[in-house]
Amino acid sequence: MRNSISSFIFIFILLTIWEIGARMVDKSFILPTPTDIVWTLWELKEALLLHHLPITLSVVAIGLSISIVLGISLAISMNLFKSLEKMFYPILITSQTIPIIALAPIFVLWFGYSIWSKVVVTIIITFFPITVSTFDGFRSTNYQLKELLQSMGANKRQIFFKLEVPSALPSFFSGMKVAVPMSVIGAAIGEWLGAQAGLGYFSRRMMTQFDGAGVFAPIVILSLIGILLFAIVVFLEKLFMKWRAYDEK
Amino acid sequence: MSQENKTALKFDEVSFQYGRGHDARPILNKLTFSIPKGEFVSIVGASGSGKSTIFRLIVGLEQPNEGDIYLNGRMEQSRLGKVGYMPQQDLLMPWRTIRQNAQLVHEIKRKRDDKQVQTLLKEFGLEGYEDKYPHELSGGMKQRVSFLRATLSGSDILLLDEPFSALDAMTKMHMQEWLLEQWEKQQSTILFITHDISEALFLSDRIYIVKETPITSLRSIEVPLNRPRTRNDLDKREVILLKNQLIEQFRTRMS
Repeated sequence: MRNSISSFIFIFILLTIWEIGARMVDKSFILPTPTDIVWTLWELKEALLLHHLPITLSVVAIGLSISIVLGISLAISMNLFKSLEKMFYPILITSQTIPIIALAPIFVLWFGYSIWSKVVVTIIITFFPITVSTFDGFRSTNYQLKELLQSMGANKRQIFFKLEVPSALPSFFSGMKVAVPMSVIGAAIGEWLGAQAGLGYFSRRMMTQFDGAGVFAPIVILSLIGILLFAIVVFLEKLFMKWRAYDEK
Repeated sequence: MSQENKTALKFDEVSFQYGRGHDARPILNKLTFSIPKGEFVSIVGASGSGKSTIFRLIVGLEQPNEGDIYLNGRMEQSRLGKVGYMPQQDLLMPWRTIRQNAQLVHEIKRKRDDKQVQTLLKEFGLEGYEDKYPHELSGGMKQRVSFLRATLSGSDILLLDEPFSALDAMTKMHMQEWLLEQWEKQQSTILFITHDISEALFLSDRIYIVKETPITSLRSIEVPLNRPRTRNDLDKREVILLKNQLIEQFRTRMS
């Protein structure tokens, strides 16, 4: 907690500078003050929280879930079959050089304004960190421990569940910590490009109306979702890896 | 009882090599030796001489290219899970508590005997540490857990691969005495790899010396000491002579 106090103070100073600066510039359609944004947030709370938030949340939830299932399955298959690793691993790495934001309009063309165009953007953006970190986790399995288990007569299934899964867990959670905030970004980009509702869509609509504070208000909610999801991952990480908590003492 | 039933372990003309063709590195060449039941036997040799390979063969992680390996008088093709193995590093799973680490063998063999685990934990001086994680224990304690895990394999043949090499001198001495105590209680056969000649003399009934690689035979030396032993026994004249003779032998081979 002591560490976070200094960052709270820093954020507070930044916000104060922003507030004073924005008042001096006095062009609220370009640079709204933080108090403007909070005020807009309060005014629009019903539309934002009851209408747009659930839609964005469902994009994030569906996208992340599919990403986790796909990522873990691919990581397991690559771990099981060397040939699959050789086939997929380079593709995975190169896929990261594709500018996904530039591709997103294509998904809108393919999937229209339905939820799936945004889900696809979210999956593509979060799939990589989950797969690669989980796979690296499997690869980090201690070879000597594996042989020790074999010497005890363990079969492949037992080695997988008793050794490889626990070995991969720390890396999986590291991947999740990267993926979870990115899933919010993915959903927002998707909505920005083609949607009829959602926080990203709302932000864009306010842009066309030159409502600066209205652009920022949904972004504040988006980043709060990101922080909340991140906190959930950290909580689960601590829950599943109690043995690590002792290290920090 | 026939002679066969009194041997815990027997190698019958076992040959083994790593790799094939031009890259082949022969380690064992028609090696024959046996270990009587209930004995404490040390294998001493320079590092890289193939001691650990003998262990890998016994455990079943490797298969001989030729020859047969007998456990308790029976030829065993698949030996995985039939011998208790204690590796050089303690190799405890950091995410498991001491009790869970000990229970690992039982889980794999799909049996459960909480009582036996608890009794042994107590006997091994690990009571009160059952729910701690490995990194909270000292090096000596971790080795005790590792030995406990090997014991729980249920096998009466235990292979110990330089288990005390990473410990400091005091802990090492302590652990050697402790190991002897446990062995005398358990009546198991122990095969112990070490490169420490004093350690081998103090612990074993018999010492096998690895002379060269590929290993074609093991020189067998009986330790002229009765049991129970104390550390002072190492100061006896014949033991010192034997020790110097062994050290000399290693020295000439090194130069």
